[in-house]
Amino acid sequence: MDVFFSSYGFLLAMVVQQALLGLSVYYPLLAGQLSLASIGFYSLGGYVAAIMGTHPALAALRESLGFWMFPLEWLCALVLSIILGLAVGLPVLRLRGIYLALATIAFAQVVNVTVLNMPIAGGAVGIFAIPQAFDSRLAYLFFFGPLLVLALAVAFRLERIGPGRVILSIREDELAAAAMGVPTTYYKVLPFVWGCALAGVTGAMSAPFLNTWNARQGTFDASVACLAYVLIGGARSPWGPVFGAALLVSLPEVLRPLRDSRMILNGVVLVLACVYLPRGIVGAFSSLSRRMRGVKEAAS
Amino acid sequence: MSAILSAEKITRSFGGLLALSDVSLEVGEGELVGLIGPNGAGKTTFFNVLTGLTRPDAGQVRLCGQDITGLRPDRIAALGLARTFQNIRLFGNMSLLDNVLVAGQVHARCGLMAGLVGLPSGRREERTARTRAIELLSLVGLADHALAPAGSLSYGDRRRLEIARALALGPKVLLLDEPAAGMNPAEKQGLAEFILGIKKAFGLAVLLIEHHVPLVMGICDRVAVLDFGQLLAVGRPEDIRKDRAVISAYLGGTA
Repeated sequence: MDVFFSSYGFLLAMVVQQALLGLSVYYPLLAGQLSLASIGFYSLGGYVAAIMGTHPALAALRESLGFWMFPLEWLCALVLSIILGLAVGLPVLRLRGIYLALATIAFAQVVNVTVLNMPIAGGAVGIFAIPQAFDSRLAYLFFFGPLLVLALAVAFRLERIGPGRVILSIREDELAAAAMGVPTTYYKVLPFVWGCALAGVTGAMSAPFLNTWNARQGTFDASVACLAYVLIGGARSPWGPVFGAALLVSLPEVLRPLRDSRMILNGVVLVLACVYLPRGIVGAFSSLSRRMRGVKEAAS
Repeated sequence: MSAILSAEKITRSFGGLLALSDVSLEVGEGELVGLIGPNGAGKTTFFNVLTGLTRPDAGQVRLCGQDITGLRPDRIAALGLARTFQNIRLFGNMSLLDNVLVAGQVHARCGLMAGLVGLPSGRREERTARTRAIELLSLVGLADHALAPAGSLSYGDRRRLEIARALALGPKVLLLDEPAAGMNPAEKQGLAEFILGIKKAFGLAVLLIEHHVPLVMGICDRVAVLDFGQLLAVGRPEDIRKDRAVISAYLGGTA
């Protein structure tokens, strides 16, 4: 067991970390808004934590706070993400579908280029030797785990309360929702900002986890990966992004014995999932279990 | 009789097409007004202007004396102007109950946080909202399917669910856009009685777009006729039937 955790601890923490990013894409999708801005907020959150963790001017603060420096970093990333999320979301959420996706990709690119040119963010090299919170990678589950539980709990709770239903109604038919008294702008911006905040805090937790932080954290590839977690896992259940992340993060590791051909098999699995599981892994399982129940009822 | 909903000199054009030209219409408290006219006469555009989905180029809409011209659709809905759509627009993947609950949310007092953490006040409100939604569903005879997805309903049932959803807003005025479209004569008769029933039960004023003239003439207090964006005539059904301009618009020529 010890061997398992020491060799796969990083992978386990990574799955949870990526699941959080998947959920940050999942939230705006509840209102039918396809946003790829998450990775920009993730990158920013990481920079906030990296700078606060390494900047010489803050040495005295770090000294006096000790471990509490980490929650302070999360808090700063959270506040920044909410403010920026509102500033980006209010104008951008007037766009629909592919245009919204494009605008949010553009935002992530703007973040990337900006930090590359900010001396405080270390340029292309980035920031390294970020102080660690724990000795082992696995222990970072103490950071990511509770956040994932919170994010999942909110997602499941939303399905059962009025404001959550209202958010879903926008995905179904925005115009009809407005005619039924739903302030659509508010209920589109709300899950968007919540997604931004989640991505920002995840970034702040990830900087010490990954030890270094640079502009490669916020690339377009990473945006697409976050979206893939939701699409492969399933966009209709909060478990979707979690299972999607688990599959896509662990697949290259599991296939490692195949060496170079593993990326081919990785791609094949993705294509098959898109073709045969249009509603994602979770969607396929839930319709399968419904069918099984139907068979049982028919038999009895 | 005081007007609860009034439109004054509404004008709206799309490109070169004048969809509505100087249309004025009043609906009194508890009144049932029919709006008829050939296809493309501007009836649905008129509804869209009233409910804020389309901005008028000129003119003013008042609800209970308050100017609602140019307000957001959700504000207008919350003020008590509810509608159904000609091409039914339900939340197809959501249950019947959830469809009605979405509209009922305008009456919610508790915020998002109260709901998320499950405060007693939020739970009480949720219970009340559910009870009310089930009542509305039984009113339209759909309570047995409350948890089925709206997309699984038959055509006629979708129309009825749309009315239940509109009623959940607790409106003062209900706008029905061709509620009898696609129904057979027996269903149309049933619908006529249903509309009269809810009008009385909820003390509603109703504005009804309908192509089926006998239905409109049978139940409406007054009838308005729209043709090429112009209001041809407004009056009691028996007067409209004799109106020369209306006859010529419907039958053509110079009757």
